[in-house]
Amino acid sequence: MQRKEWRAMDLLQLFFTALTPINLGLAVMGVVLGTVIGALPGLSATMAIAVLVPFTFAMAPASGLIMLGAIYTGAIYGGSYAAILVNTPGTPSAIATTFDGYPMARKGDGDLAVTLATLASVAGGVIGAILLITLAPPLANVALAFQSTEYFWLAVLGLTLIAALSRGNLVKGLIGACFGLFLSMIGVATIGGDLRFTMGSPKLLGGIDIVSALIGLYCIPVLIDLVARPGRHLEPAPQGRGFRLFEAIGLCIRNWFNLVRSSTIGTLVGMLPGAGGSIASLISYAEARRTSSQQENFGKGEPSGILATESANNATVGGGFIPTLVLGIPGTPPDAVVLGALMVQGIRTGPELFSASDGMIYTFMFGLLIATLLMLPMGLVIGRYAYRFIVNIPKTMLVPLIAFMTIIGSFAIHASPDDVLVMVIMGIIGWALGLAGYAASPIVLGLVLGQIAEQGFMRAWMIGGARDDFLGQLLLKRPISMIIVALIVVTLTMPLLRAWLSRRRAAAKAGG
Amino acid sequence: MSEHARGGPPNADQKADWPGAIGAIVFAGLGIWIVLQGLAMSPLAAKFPLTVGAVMTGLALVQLALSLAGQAQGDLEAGIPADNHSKASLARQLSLVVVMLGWALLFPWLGMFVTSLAACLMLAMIAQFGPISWTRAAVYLVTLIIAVSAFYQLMTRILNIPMPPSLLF
Repeated sequence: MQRKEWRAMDLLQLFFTALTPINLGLAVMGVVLGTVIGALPGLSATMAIAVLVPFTFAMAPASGLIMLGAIYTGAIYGGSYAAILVNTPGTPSAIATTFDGYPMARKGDGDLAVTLATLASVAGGVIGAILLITLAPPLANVALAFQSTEYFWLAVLGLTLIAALSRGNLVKGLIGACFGLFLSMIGVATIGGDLRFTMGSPKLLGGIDIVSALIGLYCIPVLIDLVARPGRHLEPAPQGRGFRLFEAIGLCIRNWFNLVRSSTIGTLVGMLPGAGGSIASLISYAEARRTSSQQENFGKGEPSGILATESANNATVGGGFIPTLVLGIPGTPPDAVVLGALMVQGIRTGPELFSASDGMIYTFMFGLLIATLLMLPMGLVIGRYAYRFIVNIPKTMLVPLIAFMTIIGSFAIHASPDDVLVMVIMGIIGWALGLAGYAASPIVLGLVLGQIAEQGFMRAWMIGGARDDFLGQLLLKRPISMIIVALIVVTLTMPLLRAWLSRRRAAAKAGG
Repeated sequence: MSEHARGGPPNADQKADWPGAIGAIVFAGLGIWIVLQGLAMSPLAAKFPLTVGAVMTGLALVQLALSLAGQAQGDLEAGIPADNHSKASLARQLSLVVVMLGWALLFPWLGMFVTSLAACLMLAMIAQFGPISWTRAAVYLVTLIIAVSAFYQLMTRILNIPMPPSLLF
């Protein structure tokens, strides 16, 4: 393969190559398809890309890859619709979007929430794509520095979010997280190989599917609540409010640092193979809450929460492509499918890809950037209709349609009826626990982060044991781990410190 | 110092959180079961279950005490406010649960299309409050048939998801 040093003018030319009408048309189609598929609970970005990959083989390589990138970024964004409008994350990346998105929708601000999600997704996607284009090779080395120990601490950092989600009752939140961790242990132990908590049922050998569980935990209680009383599902928006675009842009400008920070977190976490958009958005949410002056509003419909989670999860698209393209290690499952498509197109990944004379990879990356920008008009229009549809549809139609989505969505994951049963049972458990004040989100956090935490800890344990230096392997000799632990300590102590300071101020005021 | 803080019985504002206490008992039992199961596992596989089980049991006992002392009412972070549950129609809620369970259990035997259509119609009836005109009922029926058919086709024809072999379709 001929090598070439790419200059700014060359890159500009490749940018315009990506802007051909055919490529633009494919990018629009990809964004729309991805958004619709991502909005349906259970139908993931991976599935959308995998289904459409064969169609791209007949296209020019650059066009095919641009379409795949557009589907991917659209699907991650589309997950926010279901999260905001029906409290069901369309994809695991949108789990944290439910925390403030659904409360906003219930207050009658669903239109603003959808517009905020669109703007944040575009901002995150653009920042992720720019970092991919400009810094891919050096950032890939950062990804390599993350080992099992760092994954363990990242999972613990994600679990600290329980403190934020357990307003007024931290103990119930922690119990819920333990229950989620227990669910994550069901099946064959990845370290040790034992059968754990399967109760002799072969159906549980593969464990509890995360997507099935989260569809059940979030969606079934909403369905049960919908049929419990008459009245509308969401408050209708007054006529003539439009997209509330200027209001949303104003919020974005006021939260610019939150957007940049969350997008950077999303890109960095997206680079880590196996971490993915769910962890990125949870960590960004925790950071946004920790640094906010209005912490008490988080979980009640705080726009900053949506901006943090949606910018982070779309930034993982660009971030995930960094190790995929530079090292050939896919950061997320959809990256693995795209990697396969790249190979079929005859593109070999590696650092030399960025100096290849055909510039194909830059066309692809620019295509990703263009698709992300196209998400703004497409997303606003689709989001507006989705919002109107959900607000205006009578419950008599809404309930069976959502229920049908949950059933086919959970079945589609592995074409397994067992996943559907798991979804329904988890939903009933989630509803029953909700009656007792045990929230769903800590359970989901434990379930999502449990395997990563256990594998990371046990690998550190084994490596540390072999070297007779467990503490060094877990923390003391690992600078990145120490930084993450410092963040954990700050996250946990900051609320206590703030409470103590406000008590002191109040006491000082009362004293005179 | 309040009466409760002095160790006395909870006052009127601090009612015992009975649902929370029942949940805590269930979780304490689950935690003990996890620990007992963990004791029979290999050391590598047992480390996490033992830790999680022990922590869950401890936290559940703390929660039980808090709930009985009236210091821990449920407070959900998002979605359904805890107090909403008490104002709900339990009959409709349980009907929905039964339909969803029946749907999940029966579709592998009877077929996805048939069970989905039947379940959707039942759920529509459960979610309908007040009288409904024949015209509107017909519109709902046709809409549901079209929606279920469209998604069934999407699943089987476009996404090529294999349906379980069943008596019907």
